[in-house]
Amino acid sequence: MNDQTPMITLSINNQSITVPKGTTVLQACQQLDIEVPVFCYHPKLAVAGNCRMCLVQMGSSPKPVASCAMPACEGMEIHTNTPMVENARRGVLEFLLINHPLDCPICDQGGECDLQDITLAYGAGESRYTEPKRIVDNPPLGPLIKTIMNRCIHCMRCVRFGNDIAGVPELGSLGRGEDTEVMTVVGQTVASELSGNMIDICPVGALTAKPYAFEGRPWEFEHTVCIDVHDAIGSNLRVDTREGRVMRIVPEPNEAVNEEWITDKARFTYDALRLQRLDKAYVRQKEAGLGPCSAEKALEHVAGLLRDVDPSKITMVMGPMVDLETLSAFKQLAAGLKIMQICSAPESVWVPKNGPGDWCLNMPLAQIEQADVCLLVGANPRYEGPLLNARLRKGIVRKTLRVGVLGKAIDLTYDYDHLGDDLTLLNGLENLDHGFIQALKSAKRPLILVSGAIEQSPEAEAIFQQVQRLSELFSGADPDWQIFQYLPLTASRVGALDLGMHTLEGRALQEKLTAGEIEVLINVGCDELDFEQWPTVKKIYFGSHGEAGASAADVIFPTPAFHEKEGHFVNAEGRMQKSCQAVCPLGDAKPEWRWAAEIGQMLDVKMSADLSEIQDNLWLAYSSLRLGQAPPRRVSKLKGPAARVPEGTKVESPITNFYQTNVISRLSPLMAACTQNKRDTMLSAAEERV
Amino acid sequence: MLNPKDRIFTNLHGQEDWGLAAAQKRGDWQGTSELLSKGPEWLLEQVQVSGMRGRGGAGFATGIKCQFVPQQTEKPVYLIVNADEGEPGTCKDREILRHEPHKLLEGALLTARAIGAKVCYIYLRSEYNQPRERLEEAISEAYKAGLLGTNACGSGWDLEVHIHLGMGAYICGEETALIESMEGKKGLPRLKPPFPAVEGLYGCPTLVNNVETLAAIPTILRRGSEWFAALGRPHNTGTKIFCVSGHVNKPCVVEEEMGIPLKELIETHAGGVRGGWENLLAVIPGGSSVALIPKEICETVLMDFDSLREVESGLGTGGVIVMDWSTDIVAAIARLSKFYMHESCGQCSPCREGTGWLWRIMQRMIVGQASLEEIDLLYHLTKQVEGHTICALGDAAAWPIQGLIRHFRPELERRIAVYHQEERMRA
Repeated sequence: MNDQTPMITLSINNQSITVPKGTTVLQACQQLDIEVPVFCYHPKLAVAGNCRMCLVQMGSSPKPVASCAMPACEGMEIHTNTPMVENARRGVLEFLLINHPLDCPICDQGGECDLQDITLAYGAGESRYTEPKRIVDNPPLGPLIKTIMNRCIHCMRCVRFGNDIAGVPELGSLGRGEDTEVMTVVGQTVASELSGNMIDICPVGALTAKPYAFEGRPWEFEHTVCIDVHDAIGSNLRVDTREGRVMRIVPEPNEAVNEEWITDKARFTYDALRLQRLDKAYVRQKEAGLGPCSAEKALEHVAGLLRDVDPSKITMVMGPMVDLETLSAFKQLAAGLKIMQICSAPESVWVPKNGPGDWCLNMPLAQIEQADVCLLVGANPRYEGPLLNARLRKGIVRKTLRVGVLGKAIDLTYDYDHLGDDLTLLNGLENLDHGFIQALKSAKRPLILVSGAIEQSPEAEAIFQQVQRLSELFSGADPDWQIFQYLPLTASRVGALDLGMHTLEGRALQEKLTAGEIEVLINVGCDELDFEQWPTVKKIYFGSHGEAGASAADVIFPTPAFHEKEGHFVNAEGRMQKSCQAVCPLGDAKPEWRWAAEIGQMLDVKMSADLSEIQDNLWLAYSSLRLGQAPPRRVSKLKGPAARVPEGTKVESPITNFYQTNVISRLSPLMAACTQNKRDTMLSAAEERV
Repeated sequence: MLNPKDRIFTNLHGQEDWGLAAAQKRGDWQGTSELLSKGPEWLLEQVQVSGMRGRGGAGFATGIKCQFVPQQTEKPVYLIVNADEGEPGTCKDREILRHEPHKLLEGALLTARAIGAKVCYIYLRSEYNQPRERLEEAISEAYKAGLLGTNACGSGWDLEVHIHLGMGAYICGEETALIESMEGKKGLPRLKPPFPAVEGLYGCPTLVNNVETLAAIPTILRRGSEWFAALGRPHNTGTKIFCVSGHVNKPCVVEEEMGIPLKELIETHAGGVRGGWENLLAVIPGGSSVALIPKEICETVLMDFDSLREVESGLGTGGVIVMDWSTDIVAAIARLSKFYMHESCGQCSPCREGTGWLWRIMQRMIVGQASLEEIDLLYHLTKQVEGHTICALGDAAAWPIQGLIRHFRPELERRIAVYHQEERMRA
């Protein structure tokens, strides 16, 4: 909608309202707070108009019209409270209910079911249907979605979600008339990173969450807003807890970030929040090995270690899910102890560090979908940021966006121009004879999106510089439109780079560890390296789950998982968001910053003593940032000519299995089941091809 | 009764050859070029003046429908011939396709010129095997003779004609479901607006018209729209093909003047009701989708859109189904309910759920296994379906039952009473 959109005045229940052209009658009603019941209508999906619940009376029209699909017209007279409308609603509802089972008491949707609510408001109270009810099969949709299709009211929201948003058209309607069934057409499960959202948009209990089956009722829960730590998008989560236990995780709507979707990894890894948790401090004894001990003993042990070692032989490594508070506290500790070598990307060869726009998306997510041409360099946004990919897909569906891929050809759920997988092409991309390059040159809102995946390439710096060069070359006329986008891969990355918590590249760190130049490694939540290979290095581990980092550690400090503490995260767009504490930490677990403060005090380092002091420091560091906002960033200017990318340079996303990318998801039985399911699906597809 | 001189479909019964030469002898493709050269405005005006109403069942004014197609548009405009004739009791298009295919092709060319279409698709019912063979050959004849294709009839206008076969779904005769089906999707009717005239096939302006409507247009243009308008009654002009079937002595497909009395139609053309007029029970006058009318109404009613609407029925497609006293009227209507249940696309709730419910009650009504209140329930349900659906199939499922209850309620009540009496006897 721009300013030139003509306005239309219509009357609804004799109230006059002026709306922009293109608004539907239903939207106009909603603007006037006039309730119109709906089932199939969903603001994020294409209009289907098939439930017929939203019928309203239009002028003297002999038939009621579906308000969700009827565009508002000048002078229209709409009535939503006439006998005609009431009869129509009651009739439609009766039809929807005749084949709907009366199993509300055992239905997981109970309490948040549209059909239940609307029946209460508009239903007849008793059934006139005496014929046998319809019974249908439940198609298997994988380990996440439970199907009870007898409850389905055929609104096709899930089908439209698959087609429009997720880009996985496996779900469809089969049969016709009363034999219509929603099922997977090719007998496969729904292979989408966003499939869990179908559970949310299902207005009835036909699609429910398998792990949540018979676990609880929505009115029993306390709700807390947390931030998703599994990727850099920073989706807003609503963590539902009961008696200190996470019962489920659902999206918290935030138009600017995740709209109303979250990834399956964010939604379903909560089962790992109770598995292999560290709830005590541990110290490794010479003979007995790793054993639990009191926090004081562990602190003393660590203080001893750090006191005796030259700071140049100490390094810090920061994990993928640490919050700003942790980063800030350990920054303080590092400064106090004069530790200069800090790494927040343990597998990297080179990480961009020149300016805050170098490691960020420089356009807000909501604007990225407005782009007209987008070049992806070495990126697989489908795995690296599924919600970013969904935004790009929106542009593709609207036919306003053309995507080109330079790097490995992957299934992005939409069609794109594959320019090649050799990144050498970057050197002279502007001269490449390809329609896509022409489109990129003439684009009004171009994007070049380079993935954090390049960090692991030996040629990362050259690739980065070439992308910088191309961005300067293709930059459009609009000075506010930023072409250069860098997609970080972890929730902590932008914050760590913002706070200067990355002075040592991961590969260099590993070399130093191997060469024996490091004596003490302070590991804050990093499980991404095989630490066992450096047995002589004393390793101090801070973390919530016992995995690679903990098993190799000499001292372990238990910390809360992301939902057990208050923390802030800066997401891929540079948006700072607050994650609230949903439940208490387990056992002796304390937030990382508190451990850091206690260690600091023992070593006479001046540390912030409480959370508010740490957060005050953060506000100072982020002087221009307001909570929840993403101030514009800009990529740094290229100094001198860009380095050439050598022949045969290829980049592959480090995320080969979307479901298992960090310690929480690796420990989640559900994610393991998803991985297995995906492997089986791929195997059976391969067999079919043979 | 229609003067034989005023007949449009002079080879409706295949008494002569259907090929191009014979068709031209009968007057088809004569002066088409001149007609085309008069331009779209003249063509549209003639159709409008003729008062032609769509022969596919809904009876919407063809001239107005053509004018909905935007004259100035950058998108291609498509003409679709709806030859997916599936209405039970109707077989008029079949006869045109078999015996008068050139009338249809010429009509398509003229209409395409009028709306600015350069491509015409004929959506043909796949069961129509012989009509398809004839149509294919007629198209190839017309192409060879330069009547279709580039510079059709030497008029400077191009028209490509393609046949697209349906796959047997009744709902694909609904124009928007037909378009979906042509686009390769499941045949589900679309929401309107936008109407196909604005956004139809592949999102482009599209006119969908019935075979009979289009096939009549060349004759209207040649003989003058006033001639056509003078036939029949005001707002119900011209001639119409009726298909009389059921309990008549000579089932037939016949072209008659609009507004012919039903009794005359049956007596003169169909050889009268089996066993005499007195043996007539009821007639479904317009294909299965309209309400039946009992004998009292059949005595006087005229066969046109408005007269039949006055008696709460409809002309529909002109498929006259005659039922004598041997008919189990409840079973007959229940069979139609089953048809609509089977053919409902399942997209929108009232039709998907309602048609099945209606059929189940009707099924019990045949033997009277119901309560008296259920007659009212049945009627109320049809009212809950009617007018609440995306397309007209919901209405079509509702009307026959409404007609039954309106005119044969005593019969329903009698069956219920008998059933319950027998139940008591058994107990």
